[in-house]
Amino acid sequence: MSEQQAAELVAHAMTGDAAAWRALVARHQGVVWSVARAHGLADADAADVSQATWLNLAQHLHTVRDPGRLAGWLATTARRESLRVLAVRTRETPFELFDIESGMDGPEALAVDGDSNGALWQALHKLPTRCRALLRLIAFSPDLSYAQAARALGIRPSSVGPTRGRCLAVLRRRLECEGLVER
Amino acid sequence: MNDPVLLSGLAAEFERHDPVPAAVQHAAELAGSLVQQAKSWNSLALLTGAGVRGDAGLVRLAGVDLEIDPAPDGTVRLTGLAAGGEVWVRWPGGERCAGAGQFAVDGLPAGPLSIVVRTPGRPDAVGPWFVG
Repeated sequence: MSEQQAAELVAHAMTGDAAAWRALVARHQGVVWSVARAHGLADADAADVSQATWLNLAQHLHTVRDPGRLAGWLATTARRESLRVLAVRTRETPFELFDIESGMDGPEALAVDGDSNGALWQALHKLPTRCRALLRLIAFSPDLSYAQAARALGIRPSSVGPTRGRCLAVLRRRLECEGLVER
Repeated sequence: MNDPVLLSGLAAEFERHDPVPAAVQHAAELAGSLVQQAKSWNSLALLTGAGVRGDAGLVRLAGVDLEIDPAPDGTVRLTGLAAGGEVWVRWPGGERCAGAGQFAVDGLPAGPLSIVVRTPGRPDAVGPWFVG
């Protein structure tokens, strides 16, 4: 979708065009869900984050100046809502994405067991949690700036580029080892 | 396989294995009905922080304990307990008095809802929006 098309979609949604709003949801819901999952939230809590994020957008859509930054706005809002949910749940320690190493899989990892066909999915789940969270976010919104991705995941902007590069390189090597992609 | 192709494949895998649930997408779509009313309603003093329902479907908003149940006919039922004041339920296009103390309201429209507690002599306590 071009920048102009994105701007037109937001402009139509602002006028109360339900189809345009649904298109915005379809386009960006993956980003919102990704941020909630990156914070280790299970279905019910992730659903609350999603709902609060979209309600927030509905109340502030008329203030959007740059539709091209909408994905970043949604990701940041979902991050804030995720932290709020975690605070309400009174988890014993504050969430730090980069303190979590592989072995503490999030809810999305549950589907891996028994999946004999999803080689890419299995290769992904051999990556550290931080890699999966970052790759998932940028997979759903490749246009996010590093600063926006960093804000959404609570990491340093300077680490986004190198982490992205390393994670993709490791994933690609694993796929090559399995003979799924050419060297 | 270049980065865009690999990332596109990853997005497809996440959509296949951990898709956004249909009910979550539906709630996000319903939230859109707030867009046109938002300008005028933003002037109201909203309490900060939406509620967190979690698995139990219970939430505390504007000092009111609420249970939100979708009815088979597509409407929403709210039951709750308010410690003080009269509870009103509002939605884009209308509002209804739910009563005071223990209350139950049937037939509310699916979509964004909000609780307002009106106590004589005090400013209205306006809760954040949630999708019923």
